[in-house]
This record gives sequence, structure tokens and C-alpha cells, in this order.
Amino acid sequence: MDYLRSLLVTLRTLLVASAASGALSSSGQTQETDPEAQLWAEALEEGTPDAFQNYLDTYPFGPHAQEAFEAMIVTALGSRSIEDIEPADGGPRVDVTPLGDLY
Amino acid sequence: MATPARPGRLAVLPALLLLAACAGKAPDPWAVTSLERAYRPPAGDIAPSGRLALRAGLEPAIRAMAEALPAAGLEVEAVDLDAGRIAAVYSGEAEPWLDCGWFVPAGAADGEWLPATRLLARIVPPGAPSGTVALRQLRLDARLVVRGEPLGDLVELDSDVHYLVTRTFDVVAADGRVLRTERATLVFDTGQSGRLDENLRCRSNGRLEQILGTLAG
Repeated sequence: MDYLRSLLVTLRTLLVASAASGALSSSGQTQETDPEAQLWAEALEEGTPDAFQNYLDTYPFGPHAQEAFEAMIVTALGSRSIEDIEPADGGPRVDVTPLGDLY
Repeated sequence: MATPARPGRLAVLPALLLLAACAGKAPDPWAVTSLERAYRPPAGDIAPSGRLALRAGLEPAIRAMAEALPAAGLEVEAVDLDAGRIAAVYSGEAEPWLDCGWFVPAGAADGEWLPATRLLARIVPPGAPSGTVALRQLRLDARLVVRGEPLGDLVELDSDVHYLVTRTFDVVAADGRVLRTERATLVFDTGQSGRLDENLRCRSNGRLEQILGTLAG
């Protein structure tokens, strides 16, 4: 159980670190923090409904807006999220990592 | 004089004991498959994205839509008149916007199909302790994003929806104690269908995607 817990913490740390690094510009000369990506990384790290709502209030049309809405609902309800979706044309199924597993 | 057991027979004994134990184990009356003894998934085509062309300027078109959305039960979350975008959310009953098929609750007669989008269903499986019931709840949280694009003297409006369908089973004892809760959320977007398990598959009925046309009409 402790092993699983530490594994989850490690994964979450990696995820936040990855999101934070994505917030940096890749110009190679000056690296500036993208406030939108920074706020998203903070919301992920905090992992609370309020944190995701804060992201939505600040960036309602941001690149992570739909994810933030989903995470806000799932964390608020204490639910597990399942994304087992099929496209309309009956093509290959899209496999998406269940967001609920990240928190 | 006792006959010594053959090694082959000894090896079979644990397997037989395991088989007997499994055969004697009663099915869980509160499992989803027990509470919903039959399921018929939705049929027909999946609704595409909503699209509407209006003879209007971008800003007036977006403003008019943002003002009309609350009448359809949606709460406008944000409006960007310059970029021509609206975000609106809905939380509540799924029935007006989704088709999730039909199910027969445990304890109901054959042919007593209920819409799987039903907000609340009270299920009493056969053999349940007296007064103990399962409450099945289904709620929808949806986020609609409208994008407007000027096209000559027209404005083209596109809408897409992110759907979250949450099904909850609460097993409640006669004294009101909640004995067990199972909750899961399925997620899909416009143009897709979502599947939670063998007993729940949902798709948009197209009304939310077509809401712009409804409001403009």
C-alpha cells in the first residue's frame, strides 16, 4: 500500500514537473514562464475543485479548460473518471488515461 | 486396511474444494449487473457538432446567444465578444440532452424499461434485507463552447460540448445508513459516445449541439 502511495506521489510529481517545464518557452535564450501553463500546473498539483475552478475563471477558453472542468467535477463528486469513448464514424477507439487516476 | 490415496487424487482435491466454494457463493445483489438485470443501449446516429450561420456581426451574434442560453437552462461562464466565444455549463438531469439507452431494474417485471438517463431510481433486488434499497442516480455536467467566425456578411457559429455523466449507486439501510456507494463518471465529447460498463452507454441526442439554431429560430 505504501509502495502504491509513493508510486502515485512520484507520478504526480513527474506530471507537475512536466507541466511546469511545458510552461517555459523554448526559445533557448530567455526562458519565461507562461502564466496559463503555470496556473494549470498549480491546479494539477493542488488537485482540488477550487483550484480547477480558479483556472477556469482565469482562462475559460484556455487549452486546458475542458480538462479543468472535468477535473473539477470529478474531484468535487469524489468519483472515478472513465474515458471509454468511441468516435462517431465507428473508427478506432481512442484510449485516454483516466484523469481520476492522477489524483 | 485403508487404501493409501493416490497422488493424482490429492492434486484434484483442492480444485474440487475451490469449485465447490465458488458454486456456493451467492451473487452480489448490489452489483450493477444485479441491480440492472437488462440493458438496451442507445441506437441511431451520433449527433455531430452544431453549426449555424447568421446574417449578423460577430459581436451582436455572440451577445444575443449569450443572453439566450440561460433560458435553455445553461449558465454562461464566460463571454469573449472580441474573439467571438462563449462558454456555458449545465448541471442536472441528463434526460433532456442525452440518450443512454434503457434498463430493467432488479425486482421489476419483464418489459418495465426505464430510461437510463432517469435522474433517480429506487431499486429493491429480490432477496434484499427488508427496508434496504439501492438508489441509482444519474447526473450530467456539460460544458458548451461556442465559437463564432465572421464569414463575409455572415457569422458562422460552431458549438461543441464536453459531457460528464456520473452514475451513483447508494445502498441505503432501513434506518437511513448508507451501506455502500459506487460512483463513476464517463466522459465524452460531441461526436462521440461514452461507455461506463456493460450497463451504461451514452451519447448526445443532439439537442445541446443544436441549441444555437433553436435559440436563433
